Amino acid sequence: MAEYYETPELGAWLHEPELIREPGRWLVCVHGISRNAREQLVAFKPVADALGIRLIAPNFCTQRFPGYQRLDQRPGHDRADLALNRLLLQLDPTCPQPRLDLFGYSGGAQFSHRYALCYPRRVRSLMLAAAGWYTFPDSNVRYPRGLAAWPEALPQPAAQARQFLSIPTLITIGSLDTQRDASLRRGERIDHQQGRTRLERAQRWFEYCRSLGAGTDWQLEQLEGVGHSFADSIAETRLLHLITHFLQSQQENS
Amino acid sequence: MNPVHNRLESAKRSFVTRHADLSLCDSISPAEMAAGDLLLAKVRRIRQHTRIELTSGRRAHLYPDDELILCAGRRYATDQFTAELPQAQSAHLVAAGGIAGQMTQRHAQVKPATEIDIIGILKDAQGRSLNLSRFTTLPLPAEQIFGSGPRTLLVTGTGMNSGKTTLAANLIYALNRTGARVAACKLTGTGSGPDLWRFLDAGADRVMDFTDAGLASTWQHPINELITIAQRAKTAAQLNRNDYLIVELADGFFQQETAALLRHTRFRQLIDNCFIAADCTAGALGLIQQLSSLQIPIHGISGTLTRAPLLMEELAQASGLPVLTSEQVQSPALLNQYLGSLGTRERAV
Repeated sequence: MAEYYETPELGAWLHEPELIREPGRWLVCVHGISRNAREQLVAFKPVADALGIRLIAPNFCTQRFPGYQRLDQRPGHDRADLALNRLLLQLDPTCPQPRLDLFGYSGGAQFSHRYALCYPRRVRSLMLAAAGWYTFPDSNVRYPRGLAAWPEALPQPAAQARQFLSIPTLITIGSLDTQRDASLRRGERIDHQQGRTRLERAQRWFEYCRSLGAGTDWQLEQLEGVGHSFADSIAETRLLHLITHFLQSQQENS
Repeated sequence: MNPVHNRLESAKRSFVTRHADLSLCDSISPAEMAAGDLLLAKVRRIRQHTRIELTSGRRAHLYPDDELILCAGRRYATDQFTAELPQAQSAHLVAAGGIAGQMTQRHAQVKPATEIDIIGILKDAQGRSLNLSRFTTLPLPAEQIFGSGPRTLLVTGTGMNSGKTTLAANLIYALNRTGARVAACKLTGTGSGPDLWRFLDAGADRVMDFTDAGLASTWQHPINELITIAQRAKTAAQLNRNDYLIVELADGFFQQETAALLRHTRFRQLIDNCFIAADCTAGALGLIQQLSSLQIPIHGISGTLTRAPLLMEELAQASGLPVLTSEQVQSPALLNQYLGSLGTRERAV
């Protein structure tokens, strides 16, 4: 049964499976800029039920969280990472350090990998789908494309980069996600560093992380025949199957 | 001059009695004491407290046979004394702010309380005792202050000496530097001046505590009364056109008034967010759990724990909340980030 839980700061869709196998564990699904939190919740319910873990899809509304993907919010706006942490604390105060299986689509994938850079010990696994661009764990490139000049207000990732690379990570990208649409961040520097399309950027980020020591539990999967669409990725590709399998294999490993 | 007034004039008058109009005093006579009653006492033996804080804030040295104008009150201080109301002529000076009480417990590392003999209670011409409750300076609570009042930040902590007042002062300093007008209120504890001076020194343009509402100390006072004081402080800040009100609660979560206030919906409605001062990771996590279960949003953690970078890192990862040194809290731009929508949208801070 899905319900909407709301604090003055942040709202979220929640689903609890009938059988919760790991009480301290949450599957967190973070929307892109279309802010389709409920759609994500509906799509991921079967995964949560199969694994016996609680599911939450936060709704980072435009007014309060205009730049939630980058974490370094503009002055006068709430930070999405802190809002999520506070919400989780309020939902389950008995577990101050939850373990998150963090999924994000597009802008949600941007949020998710930056969250993992800040809080690697809170993230159990990372599933990044169709991110428009990435923060590379590269101390020679300035934030937000790299780790240099990291915002002082964010947890510092430099000491945690190795922990970040040890998080089991599944990167998915549509094989047709090659359009340079209006929502894609473009520019000479980012194109040069990361590539011109989401497909290319996913490949480069994956390869860069692998070159730093990311292990065999890092995977890059192309979703055949799909462009930049969450609905199509769910309905027409093996995305959910990949995620279920990925999470199950992590469960077995742990 | 009336001999009673002559006697009071030469006595050392303590900080908590500062609002009382002593010209009303007509006699001094022994009687059963109620919390807040003003009394005259003589120093018998100097022990833990060697000085008394005067109405000016100066800490005057004590000598045997000094006469002191004090207030009858209780004290709850984990690092010092537990004291009940004085029951007899023989009593104790249990707080330097000017509380006369009967010490019942003390911390193992402090000396016994300074001993005093109570000469009598100050009474007016009608024989009524002069009680602090007759001399309040806070306005009555406004009927509707939610939504339009100052943004109200709560400061609470894991216990006594965990760094709450330092944290509150740092918040005041940083907010003041953004150009905001800041008021501060110490809502619970035992009446004394140093915390209020510290708030003033940090830049608060209005400082308040429970003594402004007629209480010498808050231990064992009805919660509804304390909530009303919080409402009055918020009203005062609103009338003073303050942008922020910092409210500090004394002691830790398990202190009975602190716990009761935090559990009370009417008190929580007055609060926008919370900062906590911690002296250890386990205590901080316990407090975070308690506050989160009450839906109180925590926007930052500071306190004596932040002397240790390793503990800061440990707590930040465990809680997912910002753990900030004093210097970080004092940074207007950084604090503004952590305040989020309760901060200012000006980049220039």
